[in-house]
Amino acid sequence: MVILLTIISSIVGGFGTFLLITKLNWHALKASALLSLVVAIPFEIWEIKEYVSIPFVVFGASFIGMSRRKIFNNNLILIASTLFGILYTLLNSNFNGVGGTLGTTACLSCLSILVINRLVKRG
Amino acid sequence: MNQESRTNIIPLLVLGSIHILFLLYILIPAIGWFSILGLVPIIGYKHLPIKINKLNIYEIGLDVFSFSLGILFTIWIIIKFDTSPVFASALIGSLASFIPNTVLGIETKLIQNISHAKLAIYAGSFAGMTELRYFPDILSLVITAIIGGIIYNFLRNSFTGLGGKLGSIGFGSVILYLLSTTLLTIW
Repeated sequence: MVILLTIISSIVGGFGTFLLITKLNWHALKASALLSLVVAIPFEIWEIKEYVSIPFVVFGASFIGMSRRKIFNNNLILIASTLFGILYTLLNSNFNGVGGTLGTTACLSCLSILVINRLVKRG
Repeated sequence: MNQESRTNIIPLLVLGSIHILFLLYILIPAIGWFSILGLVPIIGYKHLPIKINKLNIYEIGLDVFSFSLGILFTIWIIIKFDTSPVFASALIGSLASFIPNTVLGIETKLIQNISHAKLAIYAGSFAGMTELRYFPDILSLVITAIIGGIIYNFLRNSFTGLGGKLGSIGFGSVILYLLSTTLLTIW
């Protein structure tokens, strides 16, 4: 259940940011930061302890959505966001409160999907 | 290998080193030998634009300053208003995103730098999400900001359009600061 919720949050973050950029022509920075802020606000107002990781997942996945359209399409963003959700579930207990770990995980998710996509295209 | 392609190796080495450090400090303790798969994404670098940014003291200064703003304001919001790191960083990013990119439609070098400064602020805010126990004093923040600003400057024109690049810069600045303090303590 927790893994499913993490993956759904990840897709919302990644794909939501990408849609804001491609459909509404928002700047990548604005799309990522505002979407994350909107998701984070309810968690600041109300104590939702069971789902406290949701804003972190949405925020991290929003970096995937910041990718440029020339390199990533809708499908690749969806797959990369799903991968981010899985990686977050595996790694979050080892982040140790070091900043930038969400972004680096997002970056590695994007790069992995990029490599796999090129391999599939070539094959 | 000509002079240009030789200098273009620098951004590649910078991002590669950050990702290797992530592999060593985060992936290996979490998933053990499976973390060797973490080397696969590095092959993806060749599909992305890599171009060294020419050394410019003004630009480096601006990047360090912007990165510092990101770190300091994020930490200040977390402490002052007792918010989560995500809220603080997203708020800083949102505020930075409203700084206009163009003035009366004019695109000058200065405006290009404003655009980069906004991104450096956002990258700095990721470093600012670090738990306070890692930053015992203001000097530690200044050193992290200098490292982060310089990394941002190296990667300015490289890996554009790759999601998570700014986060990697934030992580790189913190982990390099922590590594340097550990090494200094040992010596």
